[in-house]
Amino acid sequence: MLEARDVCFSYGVAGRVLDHVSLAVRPGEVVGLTGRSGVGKSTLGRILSGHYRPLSGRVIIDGEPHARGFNPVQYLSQSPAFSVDPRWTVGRVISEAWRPDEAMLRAFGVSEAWYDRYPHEISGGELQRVAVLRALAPGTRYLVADEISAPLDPLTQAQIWMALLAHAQKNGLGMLVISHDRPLLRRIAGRILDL
Amino acid sequence: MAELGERQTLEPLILPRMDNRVRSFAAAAVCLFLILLIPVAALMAGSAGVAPDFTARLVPPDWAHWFGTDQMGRDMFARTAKALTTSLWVGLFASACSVLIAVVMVLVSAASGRWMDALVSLAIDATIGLPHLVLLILICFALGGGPFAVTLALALTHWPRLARILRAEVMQIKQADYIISARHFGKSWAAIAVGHVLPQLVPQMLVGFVLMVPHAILHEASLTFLGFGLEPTSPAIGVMLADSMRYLTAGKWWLGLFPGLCLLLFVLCFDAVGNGLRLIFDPRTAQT
Repeated sequence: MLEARDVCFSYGVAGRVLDHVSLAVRPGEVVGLTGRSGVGKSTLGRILSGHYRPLSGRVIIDGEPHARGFNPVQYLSQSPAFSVDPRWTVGRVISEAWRPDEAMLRAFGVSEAWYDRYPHEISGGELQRVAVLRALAPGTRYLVADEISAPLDPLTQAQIWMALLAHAQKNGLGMLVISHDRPLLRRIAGRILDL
Repeated sequence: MAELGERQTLEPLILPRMDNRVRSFAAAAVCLFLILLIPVAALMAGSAGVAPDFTARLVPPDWAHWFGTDQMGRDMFARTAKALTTSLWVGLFASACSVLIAVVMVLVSAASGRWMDALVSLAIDATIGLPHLVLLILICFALGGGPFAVTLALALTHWPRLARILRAEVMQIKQADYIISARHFGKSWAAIAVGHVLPQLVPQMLVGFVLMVPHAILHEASLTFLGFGLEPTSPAIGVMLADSMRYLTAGKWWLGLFPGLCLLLFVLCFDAVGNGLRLIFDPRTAQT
């Protein structure tokens, strides 16, 4: 289980962004997280993924805190362009985490023809699919998806979510889906939390 | 017709946009030509410029001796070519070592956390805080002078400014999402540094190196001029300028003028290449 226990966080000396927040995501469960802008949804997502250290409180992954090495909690952001090295080809970007097989590539609509291209040479939707596929390495047990489908067209959104949900169900992957889109959350999440 | 009219009026606007590149390529071509020509000229000169000829002492420039001869009758052209060859090797090698020191210091400080970073920052500030020449003289004096001592002294004193620029760059790159992702995919700092960070530092390293060469050459000449650098008998611009001082009031102007001018031209060429590279690599000026 991925747990945030009594997590507090603030940026610098400004007021607290998160004040004693707790939540849990079980393996295979899809939890939606919503709330107004600036309430700290992405911050909580990044804390759960080990990007930020909480001011107080703890993050526990299957009974253990974050450790060095491969992080079982992967974070996906709204802008995949920032999460890939612009000087690396798509093939190199994916293989930094793992080497997906043909079936995975097909499921997420990633073409091997993109492998020799640079991130700026494929579209935003294609790059988001690459980022999602990269995050689903065998060691990933939980996924924090932060507004990953917001800038995409409805067809690409549907493709990504169908593939992701199928993968999560098959592999017992726990997912925290952060979004402002309540209808989307109602469709894909087992329960929705309002921050 | 209207299109032709528009094109004619646009042409003068487009042509100046190539200026940076044209100027940089011209400077690079002259620089490369000098780098190739000077050692070849020095080799072809043989013992000229080193062996004294007391029958031709202090001869003004003529067709036999383009730059004249010095107080020992040595050909000043051959001597200048040999001196610039020494300066070139010392400058290139010292600058390469300085760039290496700066990169290693910055990557190690970025990998080792706050304490190491504070230590590297302190070393940068302390080295910049001390006047270059004082530090150079101290190191050369401690090592007893000579080409090795001068190169080492230059390498040990010229890294901090580049290190400061690289440190700021690495601090920024370290915060990038793709570096954080790489860390969360279990990559070591060494792999991240080689795969993600170093390629982004190449432009700064290259510009820093090219701009450091003329600086190092001038410092080598200054050190030698002051008597702490290369041996007084060896062909070196600093030695030649120091020797020329005694004869300037006697009207022997060629002894200082030609080596000084050659050094200036050499240094300005490197400087133009460095500045051109800086403008080309900077996205704000790359298209100008």
